[in-house]
Amino acid sequence: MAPLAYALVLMMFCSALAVRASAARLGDGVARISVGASALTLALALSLFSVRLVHGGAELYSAGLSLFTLYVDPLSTLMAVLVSAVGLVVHVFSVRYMQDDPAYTRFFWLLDAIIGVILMMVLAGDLLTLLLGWHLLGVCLYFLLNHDTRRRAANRYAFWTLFTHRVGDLPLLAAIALIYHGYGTLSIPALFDAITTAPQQTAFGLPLPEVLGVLILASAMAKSAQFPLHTWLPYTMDGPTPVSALMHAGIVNAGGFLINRFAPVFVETQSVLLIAFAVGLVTTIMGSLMMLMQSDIKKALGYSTMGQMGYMVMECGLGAFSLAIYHLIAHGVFKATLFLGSGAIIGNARKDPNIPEGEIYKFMVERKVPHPPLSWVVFAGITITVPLVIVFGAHQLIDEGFLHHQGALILLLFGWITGAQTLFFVYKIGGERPFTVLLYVVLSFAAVILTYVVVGHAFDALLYPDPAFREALYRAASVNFTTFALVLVLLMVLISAGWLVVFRSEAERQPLTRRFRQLYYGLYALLSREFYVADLYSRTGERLLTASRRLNALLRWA
Amino acid sequence: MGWLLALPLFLLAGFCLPLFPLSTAVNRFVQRQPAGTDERLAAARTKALVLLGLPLVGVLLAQTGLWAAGGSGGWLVDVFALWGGLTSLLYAFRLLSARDGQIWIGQLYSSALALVWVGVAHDVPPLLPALGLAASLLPLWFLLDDLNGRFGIARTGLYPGLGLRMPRFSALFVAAVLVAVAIPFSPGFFAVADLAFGGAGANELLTLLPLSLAWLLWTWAGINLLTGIVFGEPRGDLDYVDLDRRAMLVRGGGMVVLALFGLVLVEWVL
Repeated sequence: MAPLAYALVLMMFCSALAVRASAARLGDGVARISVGASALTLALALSLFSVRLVHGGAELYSAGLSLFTLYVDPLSTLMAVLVSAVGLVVHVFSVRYMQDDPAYTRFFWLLDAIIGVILMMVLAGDLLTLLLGWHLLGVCLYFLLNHDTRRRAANRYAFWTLFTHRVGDLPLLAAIALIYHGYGTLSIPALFDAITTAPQQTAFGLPLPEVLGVLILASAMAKSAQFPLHTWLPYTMDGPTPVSALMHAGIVNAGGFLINRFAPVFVETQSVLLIAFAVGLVTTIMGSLMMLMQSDIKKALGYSTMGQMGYMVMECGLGAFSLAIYHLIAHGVFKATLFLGSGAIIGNARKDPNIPEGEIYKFMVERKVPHPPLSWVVFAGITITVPLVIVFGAHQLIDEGFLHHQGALILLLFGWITGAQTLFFVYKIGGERPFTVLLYVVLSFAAVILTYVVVGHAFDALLYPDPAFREALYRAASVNFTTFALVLVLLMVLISAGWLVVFRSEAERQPLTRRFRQLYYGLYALLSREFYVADLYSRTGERLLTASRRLNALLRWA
Repeated sequence: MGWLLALPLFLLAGFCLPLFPLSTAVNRFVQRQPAGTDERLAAARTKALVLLGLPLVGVLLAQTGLWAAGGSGGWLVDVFALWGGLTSLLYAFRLLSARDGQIWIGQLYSSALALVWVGVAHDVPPLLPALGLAASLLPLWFLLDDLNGRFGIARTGLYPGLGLRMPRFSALFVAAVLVAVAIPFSPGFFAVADLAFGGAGANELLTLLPLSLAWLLWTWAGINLLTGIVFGEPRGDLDYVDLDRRAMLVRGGGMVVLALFGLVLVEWVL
């Protein structure tokens, strides 16, 4: 299997070299090399993954050096399949999309290189190779985003991206240095063995696993655009569309991968997963709110990715590590589709808006809102109870024990809120056939939840087959039971009360946005400036440059 | 009393593994322009040799100082490690606004080599990191000299957009900047990793803080350099002559050799 694993990693690097070397001779034909290598890479990744599915377990391969060892386990092979599949789609799409671009060849060899780097990162068997891949990912992305070398905006945001990624590289370097000192190894499987057996160690006066957990989380935050390190993601739309697709479907998932890769470290932590939960929650809310403010479809998709990545990190923070991997794969597939299709949608919409005449047309375009012939109290009751029954019923059906985990209950809470929000929208748009629409929504919601639960459990069995380890992950994410129960009940009461207030105000044609106009406008202004985070960074950067210039002048540049 | 013997040796080493303000001597030397065409001391090759040799002398002096201090100089070594860390951060910060190529590389040299003191204090054998960090600067040193020869000055913002007019040179220049700011697989990257891995056990904060911050600032400064030279709209009033294929292969080959040196370095260390 070792030659197969090394071939998987090397294929795209070889393709990058071949594209570069034969550019003058083949011209635009170099894309064929790239696409061919990409297809072969996917085939290799699928083969490796199949072998892992059949035989299970994990293996470490070495090329006889300290560096470049490969760790082939279900997580790494699954990620390799995702990366190579997204890579192939992006390659095929780019062949025609980039055809008139003067830097066609450069684009393809950089695309090959970045996919090679991601594969090296996900399959890394030692921490230094992981760091190399982690580090080079930001560098390759910088040059891909800077594809149009004349554009100042592209250059500026590519710099933001590289700088944020570098901020994320540093905690990983620190974590690896502390691991090397604490456990005397750079091998990933050896670290997993050592962390459970080695005596308790400290760093910065804290337990070492705790410090490692925080550093790894900080590193994941930068790559996965978590608040406040998110600004690079929505602003990088000046790069070519295929790069956006690759970035949103593949690269931002690196954070979720990293957290999962170090799951045995997180099991030993006390409070790091709670921090991950908080960071993910804030990012989810911020990303979703800012997505709603965008009029540009690509930027809206960018903020949507931020929200989804927040949710992914939050899932890890709740102990549902494998669910986060399922989430990132599902998100990768749908976001790549959305990005690659966004250009065509914009083009078509310019010719013909093509909004079908129905409830949504009346609500969005004609602004006519006929309310359903049903009391708001009854509709609110349906909105609050039906999704709750579906999310709990589905989990009860598949795995009774799942509901004993605190993290699982929080995830169900989010499922409930999402379902309720969808049903509320049915009420809000009104229409002539509210019950038909309601039925469709409830059935769709039930199908989504059931699929989520079934596939989520399949991922659990695949990635973390040991039930005791899964339990330990949930335990590491838990808090005191009484506190948790109190907070959960309070949240449910507050959310239910919130829905009732919203329903009532809608029924009385007195929306809350009108009643609290000033607050609404204030919030709107704050959101439209994206909480001033990007402004703060720009201003800080300018001040630092000014200070540097003054200091240099003072010291006569020597 | 060993520290009394060690102090002058460390101070002398501070000229070679730059410690501010002793570092100003190296920076002035790097920035020095040749008075005439045949002045050998200011020639690029001589300066490159000096930049590669100085760290070796510095390491020798520092090691001799450590030997002289024996067991009594622990506090002195810590002071020099702190001094080295602060010097590195100072120069990394100043590097952000450096626009002239020679000032830029002199300040990066000071920032990078000052970090070796962190290793010296924490029992990391300093020779390979010093050599790795210094060697990483050589490709950029020669390419900046090349720019100097072509345009009369190596300075960002004066002739942007070289990527479009001189693609071969620009490709090498990009690679050289990346190598200089210790991107994988440059020897500088492995030197930074070696210092971090070796020093973190002795003092996490004193090792990881200057290393990380300096490394971050180098990247920022490197991007500034690329932005003002490789990217942007090219000027129409200049003559651009790109490297020929052979020159590109020779210089590119040099960088591959450096990358291999980096790999040897890491194999040696681990």
